Amino acid sequence: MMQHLGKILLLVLTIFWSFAGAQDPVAIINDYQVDFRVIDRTQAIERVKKSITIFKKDGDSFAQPYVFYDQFIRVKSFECKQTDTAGKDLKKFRNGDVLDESITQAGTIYDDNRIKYFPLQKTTYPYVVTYEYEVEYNGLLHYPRFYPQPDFNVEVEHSQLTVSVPKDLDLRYKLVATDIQPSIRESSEVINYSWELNQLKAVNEELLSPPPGEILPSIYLGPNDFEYDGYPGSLRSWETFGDWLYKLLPANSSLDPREKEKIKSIAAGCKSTIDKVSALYEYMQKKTRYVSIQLGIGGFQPMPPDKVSELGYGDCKALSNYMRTILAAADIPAYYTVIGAGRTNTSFSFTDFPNSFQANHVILTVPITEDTVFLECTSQKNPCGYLGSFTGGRNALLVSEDGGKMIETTRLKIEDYLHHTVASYVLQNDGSLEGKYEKNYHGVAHEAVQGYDQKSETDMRNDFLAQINHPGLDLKSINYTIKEDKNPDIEEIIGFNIPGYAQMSGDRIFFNPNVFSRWSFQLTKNDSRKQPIDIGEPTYEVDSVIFSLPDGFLVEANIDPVHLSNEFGEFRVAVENDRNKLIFIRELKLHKGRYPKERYEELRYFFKEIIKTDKAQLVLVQKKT
Amino acid sequence: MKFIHTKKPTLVPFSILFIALISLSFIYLKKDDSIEEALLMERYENDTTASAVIISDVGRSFFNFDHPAYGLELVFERKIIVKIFDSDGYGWADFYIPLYIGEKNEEDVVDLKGFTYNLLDGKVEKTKLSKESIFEEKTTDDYKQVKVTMPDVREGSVFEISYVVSSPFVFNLQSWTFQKSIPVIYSEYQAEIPEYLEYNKNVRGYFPIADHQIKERMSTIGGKPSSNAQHFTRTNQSSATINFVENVETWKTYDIPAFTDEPYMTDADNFKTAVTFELAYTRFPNGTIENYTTTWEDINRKLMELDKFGKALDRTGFLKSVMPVALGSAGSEDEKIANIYNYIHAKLKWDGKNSLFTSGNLKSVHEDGIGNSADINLLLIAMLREAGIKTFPVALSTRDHGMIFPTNPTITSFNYLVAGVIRDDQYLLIDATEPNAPLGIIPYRCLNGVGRLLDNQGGQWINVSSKPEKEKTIVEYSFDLEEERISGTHNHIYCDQAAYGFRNEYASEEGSRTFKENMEKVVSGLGINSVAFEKMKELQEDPSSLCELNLEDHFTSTGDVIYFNPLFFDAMKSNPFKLEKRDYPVDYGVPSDDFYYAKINLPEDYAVESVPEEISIILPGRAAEYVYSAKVVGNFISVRSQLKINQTVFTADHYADLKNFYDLIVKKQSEQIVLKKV
Repeated sequence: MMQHLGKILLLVLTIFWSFAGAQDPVAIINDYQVDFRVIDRTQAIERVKKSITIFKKDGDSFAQPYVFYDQFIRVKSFECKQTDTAGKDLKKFRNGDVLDESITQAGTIYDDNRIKYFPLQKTTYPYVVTYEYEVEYNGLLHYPRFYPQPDFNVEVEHSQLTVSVPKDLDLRYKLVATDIQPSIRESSEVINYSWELNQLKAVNEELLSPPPGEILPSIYLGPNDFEYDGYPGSLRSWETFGDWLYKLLPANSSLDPREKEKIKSIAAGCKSTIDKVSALYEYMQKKTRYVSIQLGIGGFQPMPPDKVSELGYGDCKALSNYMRTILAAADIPAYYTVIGAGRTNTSFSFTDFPNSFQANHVILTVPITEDTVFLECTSQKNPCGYLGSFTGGRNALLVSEDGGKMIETTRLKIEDYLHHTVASYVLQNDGSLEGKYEKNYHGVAHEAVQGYDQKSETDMRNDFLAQINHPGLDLKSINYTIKEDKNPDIEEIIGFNIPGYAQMSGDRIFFNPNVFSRWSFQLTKNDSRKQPIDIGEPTYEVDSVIFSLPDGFLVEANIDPVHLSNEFGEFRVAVENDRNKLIFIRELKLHKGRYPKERYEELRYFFKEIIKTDKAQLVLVQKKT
Repeated sequence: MKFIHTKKPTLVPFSILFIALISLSFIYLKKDDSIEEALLMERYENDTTASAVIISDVGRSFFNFDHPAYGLELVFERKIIVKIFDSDGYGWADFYIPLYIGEKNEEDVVDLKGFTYNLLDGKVEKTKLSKESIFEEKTTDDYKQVKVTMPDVREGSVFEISYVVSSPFVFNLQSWTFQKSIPVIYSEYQAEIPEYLEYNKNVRGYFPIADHQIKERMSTIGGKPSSNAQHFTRTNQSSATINFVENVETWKTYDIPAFTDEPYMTDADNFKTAVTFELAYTRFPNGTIENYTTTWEDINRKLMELDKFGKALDRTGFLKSVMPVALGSAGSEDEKIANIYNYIHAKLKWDGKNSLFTSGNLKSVHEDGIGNSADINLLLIAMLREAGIKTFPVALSTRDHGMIFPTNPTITSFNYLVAGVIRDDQYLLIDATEPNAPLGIIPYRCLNGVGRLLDNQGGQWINVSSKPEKEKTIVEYSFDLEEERISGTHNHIYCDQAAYGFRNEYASEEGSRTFKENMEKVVSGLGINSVAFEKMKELQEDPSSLCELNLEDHFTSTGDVIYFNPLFFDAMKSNPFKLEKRDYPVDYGVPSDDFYYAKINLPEDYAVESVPEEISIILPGRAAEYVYSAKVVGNFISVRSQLKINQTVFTADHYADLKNFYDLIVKKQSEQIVLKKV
């Protein structure tokens, strides 16, 4: 065997590289031109030309030529060819090669969003795709966004955005991650703007990078005055945009008188306003379900409340407005509120640039003297007032008869992410570990186990076991209980036995007192970190576990207490020994935040210490008699 | 951006894929009191956690000879009744009817009705599905779909939908899936097929069909002046009638449990209970038999006669000038095969499409230098034949295309072909689509049981298997107690299937950097100082990676005791089989052999206190085996661990053994060696 190893070490190495330097780009955009000509409030022409070289598989998605359209966008021309880098045709596409498909997303029953695209030839790298298209807009709510670098690891040689706007209209623009100003030329009828962004070096993705949309250059365009599906409006301010949205709301008082009576009687049975809101929210949740249908102005205009009541379904707009109508019948004012939903959505972060594209959802705001309540009307399960990671802690546009107003939804605190475990385990002298823990998932943390209480026993067991890495773990019992409805808290109770959890070795037993809460996310070494550090979501875990040790064993080597505290968070582990009992305490807090790149090594060290502590083992030794 | 977002994606249980759509379902009840009964249901007793249950789903396909536009019409009727228990079942209230679009005609839904029933204060309230909740949408050039969303659906609702699909395409006799992702209490399908049409039927799935009946009955065509059945010789009397036999076949199932996906499974549709049809032939009274498919021998003959398959192998005049270049100085048959294989690799790129048929002709494929899998492998076969090597096409079905059912001959069973070289009664299978695969390695996607070797004698079934996925890891580590780390060399050799996977991942110029980054990302405390790849370009040899590395936090020292896991980061972290019980087979596709050897040098002044016990586990019939040993040899420890999976498919009754086998391995691989200061 020795000889064999020696041979391998002596093998002549055929390929050898050092690892310094940045990653090569996966694609280079050789030329990218967007020309956007506004004709009037409703009409515009957009011409796009792009030539891109793809170097590897990860770049394929950037080559895909596509154009989205709906009833307000007409595709006038679309051409494409695929060549090698010498310009030799790999595939000449004809008109008949364009595929035309619906892109209605899962969860939407009907809309008119469609895509046209050319199916590219799979080939070897590098290859070049050149395409151009022209589309005509009839109905303009927002103008295109220009972002020549579509993602990390893409380089741009030359790119240009030109915009022409008639003199009686205005152009607003917002720059992100660039400060390049347009060159402006005026003619008798129009004003021409032109931006050129050249030689943009590829930016590499790093662990905990901010999202690409925040660090790669973008130019956002927007109108002041617009007209969409025959509805004129203004994006001059949040107030005017809110006014447009308000006027789209269907008339208020159209519920069936019998339903109104029912609403009034529900409200009459409650004491406080918050109780009324809660009872009526539950009424709405029981009566409806979420179905999305988007057509024309229907993308912005809710279906009338009486229709929602009759059909028993609606989208976020329809359900929120229906709930607003229900509350109005009980004399509780509430406001239709437009927001960007999703865990990573930046909902109206451009507060100085009124727009519609930073939102995709509607909720309802109910101002109550003690505290404002926000209602998510598309969920049949949320407790009243719960927004969570879907729409919590972000900007939103409240819409009323006074127009629009920027507000912020309930902020999420680190306590809203708490996982709290209390447990008691017995370590047997054959090395098996038996016990039971109770883990509470609070606030946003509960979203991970939402609905688990209604799962079948088999699913519960399988889902739990799928996440556990203790071989042979015998799951004795499993149970989920909703503890507190208003501020969600789900309790997971697990009874288990792990045979051979501790390793027996002569007189000694080795075991890790951290059974289920081991941190595993680590950062790789990076001496030339380029981007700031972005911790998007906080982590908060508290564990306290009592172990009973087998008779006749003493702690020979304990785990040294650890306490690290810094701007990123806090980590604390202590194991105390009291006769045949061990008490294991662990607390980990990691705050949401944005930190300068210089602190990367500090964070890496922090994670490293956590990982190291979380896998440390204790040594027990048999008492000498 | 319209405000169309959606509730949380986890709450949207349905898929818009066509395949899934076809399996979407619906009802049949004779009396209204059954609806009332369903409304009163609190839970489905056989599965109390089901969020919805299909009370009944009844379908019927039959033929109508009097369609005014296209004469022979294929009609599909369906009625489905669904009970919703809680909001997780709401997805069932939105459903889809996929419809095929042909060149001249298309399928249509002609009679769509729906009702939702709710119990209000003890009374049944009935809401009718109205037009505003029905949408039609063209999804692709070949398909459109009708989407329906049921009104007034709440927890506890029952709804029924019935519809009729009128189809001009007799080849598109609807398949029927009895099993769904929610339980189905009653499902029934009836096909009424006139003697003039013959279909091959295929019944599959793990849950048996409870009741199956075939009856013959006499039927009559015509008698009406509007009759437009052009297939029949008629006298000029338009009121003439023709009698014929109709075969009526019925399948029924009761209380089918919900289907759940399991890992390591081939396509889920292979396992759901379903019946499918393929048109075999038509034989109308006035005409000759028009064959579609019948036997595998017929399919063989038919394929060999097709321009885009067998005939393409005859039009190879252009190879005369190509062969000398491709063969070079090859003398033996092995050399000829190797040179032709290398020539095709160098000359042709695979466009990523799996196909049974050429996209054009082999001459232009050769000129263009690019083609689908059939283009490339047919050219390979043609060249091997040109060189005098006895070679036949082997048609097969890729893993994502489903299993081949030998009792059910259909051309569409196949979607791929490879070359089969006959040598002394053995078959050497060759696929030339993968630039990183050595000769004789069949890509994983093709390892799906059997293939059909197509020759002039009607063909035969052969096994499509591959050499095992073999890996060897050989390491030598030493302790650096001062720096609290371990350093050494890690050598990993990849053979056969594994070699091809490794090259696919890392053959690019930056491969070794990506390799380093990936390793460091996965293994905490690992620092790789250098990586060297060997034999990356020499396809017929085994490539390897050789790392010089440091490992931090991979041993613990307390007092005068040191303990560590001798498999370090190469230990298996968790059992891949987490489910407690399984209904469907585990299918690895390919055997594997994973070997690890470590030489661990003892630090000075330390002696071995204990090492893990040696074990050897063998599953019955040597289906899988594992050996582990750790021994002290002078001043080092030698550790050997080897896992071999010899059998590729494990049926559900062997699942417990397999799971237990992996549990023992994971546990063994987590054990530690203890050293003590002397």
